[in-house]
Amino acid sequence: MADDDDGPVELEVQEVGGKTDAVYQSEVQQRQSEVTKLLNAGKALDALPIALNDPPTHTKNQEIKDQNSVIVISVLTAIKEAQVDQVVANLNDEQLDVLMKYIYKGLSNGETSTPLFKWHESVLKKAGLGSIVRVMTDRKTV
Amino acid sequence: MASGSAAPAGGGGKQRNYLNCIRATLTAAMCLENFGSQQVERHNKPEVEVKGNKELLLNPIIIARNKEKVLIEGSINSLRVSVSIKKSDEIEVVLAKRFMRFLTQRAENFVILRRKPIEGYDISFLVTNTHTEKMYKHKLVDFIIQFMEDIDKEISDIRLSVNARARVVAQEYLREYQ
Repeated sequence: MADDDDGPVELEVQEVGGKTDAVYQSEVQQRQSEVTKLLNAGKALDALPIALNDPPTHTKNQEIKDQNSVIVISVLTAIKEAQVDQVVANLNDEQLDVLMKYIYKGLSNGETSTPLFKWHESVLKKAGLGSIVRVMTDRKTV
Repeated sequence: MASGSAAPAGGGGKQRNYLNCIRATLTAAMCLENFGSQQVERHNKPEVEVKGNKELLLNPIIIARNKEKVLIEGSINSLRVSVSIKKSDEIEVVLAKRFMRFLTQRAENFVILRRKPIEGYDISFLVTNTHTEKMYKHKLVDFIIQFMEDIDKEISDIRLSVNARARVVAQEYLREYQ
């Protein structure tokens, strides 16, 4: 057997996907403050790319993921129905996939269903059935 | 089954969106292929029921709207759809339970119906690759959506007739004591 004397293994800090939970937590809080700033200023359209950027898919901590999804859903409900199609047309493929994941996450609790159905319809039109399949098959859940 | 229920404006529109969302998700999830069991040779089991290997299962999706919700669990060779019906009062709770029991007792005739619903839901469907091989996928999806629409209508019809009957019975009975 090879001699493993790499030193003591740190068991307290869990590194998943290259970032610790603490880093994810601070990222989410940073995102939350930026997004609330923009929402209060009435610029919900600008808040969306920030909210969708770099989701905490690698962390095992469910609370961090839930916090992030609250931020995203608040942006989605803030954007008016008439602007949804235009916003979706400006997103790239990666953002559309992340958006679809958050739409389904929001639909699972059933409170904000009406705007989310509109979002679902327009993302589906842009990205096709494949986006739904990718939500179901991707191990990196949001 | 009669198609195209007369839906009222406004409320019907929201239900339409809900059903369209479910329809799209079902169409995406119903891509099934034959896959023999990896544990037992020569056996073929619906993986969504067995849940033996994580790599064969898809992420479950819940689509909820107020009180009613739908759980869609997919896998490589099978799909399980569980529906929870909206029940607005006590009598509808009883009616829904009885109606679902009536249907699940005759599950063989429905082919894709599951005899026992999943916990937390009123009724469940299990669609396997053998079903999609014999039947059209879009027709299966149509069937499930139509089923959900009709259930709501039937339960409210039954509730109205129960109330009407109860009123008539009470009138006749109390007439004696007038």
